[in-house]
Amino acid sequence: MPAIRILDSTGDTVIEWSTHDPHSVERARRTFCQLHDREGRIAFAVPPTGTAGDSVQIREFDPTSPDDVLFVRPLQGG
Amino acid sequence: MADLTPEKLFELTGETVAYTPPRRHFADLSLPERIESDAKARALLVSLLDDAQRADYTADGTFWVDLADGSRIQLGVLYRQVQELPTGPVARREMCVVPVQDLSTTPVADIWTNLLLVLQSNPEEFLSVANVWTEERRSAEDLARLDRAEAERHPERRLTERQLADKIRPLIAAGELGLASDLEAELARRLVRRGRYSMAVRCGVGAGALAVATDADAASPNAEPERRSTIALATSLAPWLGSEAGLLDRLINATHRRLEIGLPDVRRGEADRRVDEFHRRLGNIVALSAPRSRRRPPPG
Repeated sequence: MPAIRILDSTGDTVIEWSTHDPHSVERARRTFCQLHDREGRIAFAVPPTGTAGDSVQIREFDPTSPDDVLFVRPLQGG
Repeated sequence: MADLTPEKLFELTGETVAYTPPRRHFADLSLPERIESDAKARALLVSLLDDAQRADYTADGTFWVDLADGSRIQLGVLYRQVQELPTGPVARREMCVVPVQDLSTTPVADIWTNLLLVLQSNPEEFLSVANVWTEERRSAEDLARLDRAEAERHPERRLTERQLADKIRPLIAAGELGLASDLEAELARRLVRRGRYSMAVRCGVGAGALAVATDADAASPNAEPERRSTIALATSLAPWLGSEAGLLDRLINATHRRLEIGLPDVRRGEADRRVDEFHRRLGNIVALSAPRSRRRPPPG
């Protein structure tokens, strides 16, 4: 089951969805909008068995994709 | 009110919060909680590393990320990332890049996951924000020696674009697909430097497609159709890209990955999976580019 993974103090919070469960899709879509559109976080689609090299930055939520969506923050110089 | 679905409510107010971050920062958790969070963050990071990176990270907590320009950047030490450059006047840089957040918010492995994903997909963005502390420059002798070695290793780099283009077709006809793929990739890099993105897309994907064909005998019976469809896809893609150099770099990186398939020990299933993945990535790039089509619609 694909999932949105958000890096936080727990390691990562996982929000799974299934196309058979409209409620889970709606929650995932709203989470995506919140983090991407409103908070400016960056979303990457990561294939289930892929590495970071296989990841692709995405700008829209696709509930039919089998990929996990991993949210990270923009970067700055330290 | 009966029509006020959660989706409509969200659209109207924009206030629905689907994700609420945990109240306590990582640094404020109890020791057992920190251990648990740290293990989760490490597991996620390790799942994103390739075999070599995983071995390095397990050994000393650091790992290298190879970039398309031949340089590599080491992650794993907070406030100190090291870049090693194989060519050019600068041999090594030390820099600092961090996520825009309070660093005590998450386990440190999450910071590496964050940096890894952005660096891998958009190295220009990573390097543009980096605060460079030190630069180690090469001596004139070292620079000359490196240039000579580089020229010997890549004779195609001494050829002009016209010479490269003229050589590719006869090589394909002669079945020298691996060499043709190298030349086409070199041509694509030159075109990128000159800002000729649409042509570069054709060459870059052509290089990848040739690599698919090169693998075909040993790896996939569908290489020729794959090659044709890849080139068709690249051609349809070109008008969408405009001058999006970042997207193009990603596309060319994908073609470089195609070259890796030629390893003799790679299995057929793995090769097929990578071909599928390559196409999926191209599809994603089309999707990413689509909103820009309002400015510059593709012909036809």
